[in-house]
Amino acid sequence: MTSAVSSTDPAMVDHKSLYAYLSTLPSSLLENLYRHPNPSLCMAIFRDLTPMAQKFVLRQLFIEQILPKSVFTSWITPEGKKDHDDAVRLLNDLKIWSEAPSTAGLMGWKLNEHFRKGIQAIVVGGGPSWSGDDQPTAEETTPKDIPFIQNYARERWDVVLHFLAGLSGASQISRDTVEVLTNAGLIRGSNSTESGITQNGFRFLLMDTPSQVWRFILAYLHTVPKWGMDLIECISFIFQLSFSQIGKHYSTIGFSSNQLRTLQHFREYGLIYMRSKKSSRYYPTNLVVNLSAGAGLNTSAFSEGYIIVETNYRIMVYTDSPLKIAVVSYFSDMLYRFPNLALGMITRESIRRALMKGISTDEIIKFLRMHAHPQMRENNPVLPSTLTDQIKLWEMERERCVFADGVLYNNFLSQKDFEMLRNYASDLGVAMCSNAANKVVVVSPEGHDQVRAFWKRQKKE
Amino acid sequence: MSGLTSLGAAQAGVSSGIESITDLLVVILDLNPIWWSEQLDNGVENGNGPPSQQYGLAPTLDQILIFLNSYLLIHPGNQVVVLGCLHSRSYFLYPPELINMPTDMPSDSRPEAFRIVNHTVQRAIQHILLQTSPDGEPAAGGEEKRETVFVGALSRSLCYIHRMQRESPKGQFVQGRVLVIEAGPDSSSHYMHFINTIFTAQKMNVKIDACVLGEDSILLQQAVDLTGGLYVKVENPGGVVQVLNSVFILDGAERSTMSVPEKIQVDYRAACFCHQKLIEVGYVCSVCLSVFCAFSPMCSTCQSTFKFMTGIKKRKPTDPTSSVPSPSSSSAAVAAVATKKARNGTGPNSNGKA
Repeated sequence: MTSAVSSTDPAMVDHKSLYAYLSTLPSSLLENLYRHPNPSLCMAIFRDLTPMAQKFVLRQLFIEQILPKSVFTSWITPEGKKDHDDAVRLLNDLKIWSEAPSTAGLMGWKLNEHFRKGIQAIVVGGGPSWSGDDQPTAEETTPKDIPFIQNYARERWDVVLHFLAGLSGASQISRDTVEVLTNAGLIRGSNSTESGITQNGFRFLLMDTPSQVWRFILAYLHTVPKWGMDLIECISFIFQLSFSQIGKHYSTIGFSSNQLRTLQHFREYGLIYMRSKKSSRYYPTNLVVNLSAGAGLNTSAFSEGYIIVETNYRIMVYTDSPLKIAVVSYFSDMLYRFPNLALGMITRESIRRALMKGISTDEIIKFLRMHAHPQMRENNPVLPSTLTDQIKLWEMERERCVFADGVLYNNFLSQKDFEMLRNYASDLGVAMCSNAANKVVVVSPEGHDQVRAFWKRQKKE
Repeated sequence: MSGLTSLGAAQAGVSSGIESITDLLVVILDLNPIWWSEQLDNGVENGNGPPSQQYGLAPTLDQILIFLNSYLLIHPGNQVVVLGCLHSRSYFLYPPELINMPTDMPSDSRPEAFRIVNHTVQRAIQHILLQTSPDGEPAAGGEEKRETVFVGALSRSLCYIHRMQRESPKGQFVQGRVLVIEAGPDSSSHYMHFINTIFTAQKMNVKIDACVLGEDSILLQQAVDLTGGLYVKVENPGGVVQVLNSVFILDGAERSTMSVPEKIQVDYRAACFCHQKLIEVGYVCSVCLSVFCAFSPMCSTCQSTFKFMTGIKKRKPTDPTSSVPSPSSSSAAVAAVATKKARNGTGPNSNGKA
């Protein structure tokens, strides 16, 4: 498993992880991806580049000859040095750039020809269509409208989350899905001693929906080779989906068996809607459209805000969904439950409990802001700052103690002995702390040997 | 204590209330049919010159569409608006104002969202040009029709940006930018409205960029300079896309990290209100700051009558360097003061918004 999925760094789970994921792939596979007739992958990768890397590619797009490296440095100002270095590294990691001699004999950066063709096809057009929307749409007698599809997507995705949260009464999900969730490190496998949700799983539940889907898809891609399916075909199909239009339906005619299997999986997660298993039409849902754009695009489109937090740490959850209440109760103490409302308190204990589960306060605050009730959104800042500050302080409280190994020197016979040893240790920079009244010194393990040798020498004299 | 200060710093980003910024690019396209057809005619007449030295509407439009696609490609949140501008009218090309959104588009390798923009713009332009060419706009004299007046299009684009900013959900901010692609020569009529619009843009913190295909435009240079945008005159008709894709695609933040064309020396001549001529020396109304090229006893803009001491006419030619401002230096001073004021205005204004 690669860092993209198993890492606990919150930065790894945002949309930048497309890069993290792709840079783990062997270069031959990347080359094949760029060569794929469907340029949607080039587009997804392009969108994931840093702004400066994007501009480099755009400036090179219609220049066939190789530009020397000095040209690229001349395009930036001194303030842009860091961005330039980042862009160069990124483009090299993704094999979009390769080193090659330019016409003048200087070393230059060569744009990958397949990548160039892919981007050109996207901005200029003229190539064959890849979204499959040119087929007649007459055969669908009663097309579904967007609200229906959005509802469907939310329902299906909630089923996955329900299962993850381990709520009773959750409907069953397929074995393949369980495998993906296990692979993503969100639940423990059924064969291990304690099954159920992991630390990452808790954090997953607190994420916004696009990040959840994106992370899930990455785990899905990791699992695909195990099922003997073609990774490239699967990746390009996912990106093709992500650039399709919501509310439109597309035909499955001409799909390979692998693609049909992916389609069935996605139907289960609510990424696409199909009338029946055998239907030859599918509707992409808002979960999969613009997927590669990652988090933060249209979070509010996925759910209405339902949380109100007050300055007195009281939290009101306007929902009857056990899933939402369960997620909120990860970091609050639930007091009352009414038909459409649950009331709780955010306390020091409840926050510490969440922190011990591996949830960070940033995630909690982001979650609260994301799901703030429309009435709360009128406020500026959305969340009362007393609350956010206090939550942060509770987190820092846990970081007050720093644990480090050390060796204790005590029972000195005289103050002079103590001072001599303490001075020697602090000159070496290995004394961690000392107390003259009790005549004790704590030395770091690295310095222990040296200090002991010194002490023995001194005692002999 | 350090913990608390760092907490404050972390909070600062939160309390501004802005979670995400959407970029909105408004492109104003000069569609003046007379200029474009002249280009075509010149290309045919000067058979000796390479045809690539003339602008054709279709090839140039193709390049502009590639630029729009590139802009949309950069970030999925990016939005474009395209306005077409004729001598005295402007139309929204995308989102379309005159035609319906095309539904029957041949599909190719462009993503659907890009194709919709491209086809809408193309068809809207076709529609406009087919309508205007026979009898077209109200005849205002053949001379004037060569020129395109941007005031209408500019103020409409500012209104559009303003509406988007107001309608955007809480926590989201729409950062607008206007790119004017000018073909024909400047029109100095409506000079005052033009400058007022530019000041509005400055207040709104909207940058105005100008990409000039024909001769240099003094008015657009002023607009660019006042709003802090970029000004480029394209030399090669085939290189429009390269200029657009390398310079005008850069957004505000990137203009400090990537090198951009140098600021041009701006000609701050004002157009007089009486004959719409660009003048260097003129008379300025002390009440409303209207500029005139010829003296009149009453201001035609604010109707104030000028009471003056006898002898002003004598003093004017005798000593232009004396401390008593002659009309010429006072007009320059007024123009300079207006610029300065407006410039200072942008700083706190932008802070206030953020």
